Amino acid sequence: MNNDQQLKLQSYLDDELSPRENRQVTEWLAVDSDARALLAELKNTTSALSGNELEVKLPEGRDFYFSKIQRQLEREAKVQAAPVREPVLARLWKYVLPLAGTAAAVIVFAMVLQKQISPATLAYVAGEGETSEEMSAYTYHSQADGMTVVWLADNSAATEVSSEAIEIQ
Amino acid sequence: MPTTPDYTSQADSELVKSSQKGDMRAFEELVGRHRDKIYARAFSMMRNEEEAIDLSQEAWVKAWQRLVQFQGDSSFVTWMTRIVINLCLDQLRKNKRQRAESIEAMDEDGGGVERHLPVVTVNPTEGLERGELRQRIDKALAQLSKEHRTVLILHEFEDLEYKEIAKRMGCSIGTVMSRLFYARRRMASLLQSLKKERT
Amino acid sequence: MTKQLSSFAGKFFLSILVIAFLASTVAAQAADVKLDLQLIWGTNDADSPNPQHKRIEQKFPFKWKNYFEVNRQQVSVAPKAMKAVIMSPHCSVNVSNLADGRIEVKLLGKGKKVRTEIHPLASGMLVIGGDATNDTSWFVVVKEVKP
Repeated sequence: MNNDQQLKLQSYLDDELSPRENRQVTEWLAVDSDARALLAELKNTTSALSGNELEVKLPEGRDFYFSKIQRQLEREAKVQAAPVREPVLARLWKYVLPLAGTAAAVIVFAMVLQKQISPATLAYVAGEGETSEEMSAYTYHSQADGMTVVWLADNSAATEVSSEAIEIQ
Repeated sequence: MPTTPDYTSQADSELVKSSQKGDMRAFEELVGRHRDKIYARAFSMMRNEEEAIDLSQEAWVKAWQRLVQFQGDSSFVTWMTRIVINLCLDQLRKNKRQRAESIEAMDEDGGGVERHLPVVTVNPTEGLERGELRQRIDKALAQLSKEHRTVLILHEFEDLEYKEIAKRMGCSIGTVMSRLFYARRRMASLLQSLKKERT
Repeated sequence: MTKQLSSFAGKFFLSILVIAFLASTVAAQAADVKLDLQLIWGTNDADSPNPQHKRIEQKFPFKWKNYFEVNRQQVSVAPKAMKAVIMSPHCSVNVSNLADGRIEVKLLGKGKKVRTEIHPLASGMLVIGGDATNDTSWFVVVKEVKP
């Protein structure tokens, strides 16, 4: 059996032949036991694989995984937004930002006074974390695990700190 | 007082509509529901946990950015799977460019070795419990080259036709047929030897 | 008149209760905070090359299969005070009790500040870490030890 015949047999199994070629292969199979044996082997493999892919689970927790997706989206949004910003707008932004910040602070302060936000959670809501210049960090809170995670993303700096810090060897 | 929608009870199509309007919580629910499946496809193609996590994550990012393009012609999970497959194929191409021509790449399409493999007459998976069968299939898949494994996954697990596989992999239909034939024959042989190992 | 009196008494007792509650909250927040700190190494390897590292069974939402405790310390921090905790020769943590139900955690690597985090104790444990070489990770876990 040559290579073309073998591939034709496979196409017959996968229903990729024209009706005419299909008939030809059927006739051939009736007289060739080697062809029948090869077709049986291909069929066995296909049916064994069907619906029997091993189920693999994502090894990361749902919240952690999603927080990484969110962070990447934010990062890409920033990159896309950056060139569009006009210098005039940037200059205006300088004035708008402190005003907006002051307004937000006043609103938050008013909410604290009205006991809508407890002071204990205020810092957390406002994200009072600070990272060294060499690395960036992202924070997420998992209610289910009762855990706040701050993951330092700058690999080069984090690696340096970690390997030095742990001294595994 | 506005109430938060109960995302967990919503169908994918509803969540997609909300996500298309920018509702990140609805999108989070979609990620939660399908993250394992998308990761599993990336892992089956890359066989590397780290790469699979990164690529599946990237697929979700791309999905969010292109959600407006999703018209509902297929199910959301099928659409997502296509995205992750394309990303994996791109990555495999990049990896291939980075490595030197390997022996597997030289003999993969020529139709040399597989023609001489003896036909496996007894079904090597007959009588196996499903869990055991899945384990063996996975073990055998891991032993195939990336090119052969990819073509087998796309054909057997994703039900893509030769033409579609050729388009996605950037090769001819003949190459797809040849790779698929080799992959199947090799799988039969690997499954048989795994059976022999056990008995 | 009786109605007015009972209304006044009701408000009075309610005020007392509120004051008592606030006082107890303030007292609780002004007390020493006892903290448990762990330096953990996350890896897919079955064993740690350092036999002194203790395997821990706690689950974290990360991808690594095994976690080893490199060091563990417990400290008590007085209100408005700070304690420096050395977790390894190059990794230390400065924890301050802000006396309002929050702590400030400053992580230092080789003496340089890496991250400062203000953390409300009521929200559970705090994990600060990052990826490390050879597909591993490290992190510091800070949690309150409740009496």
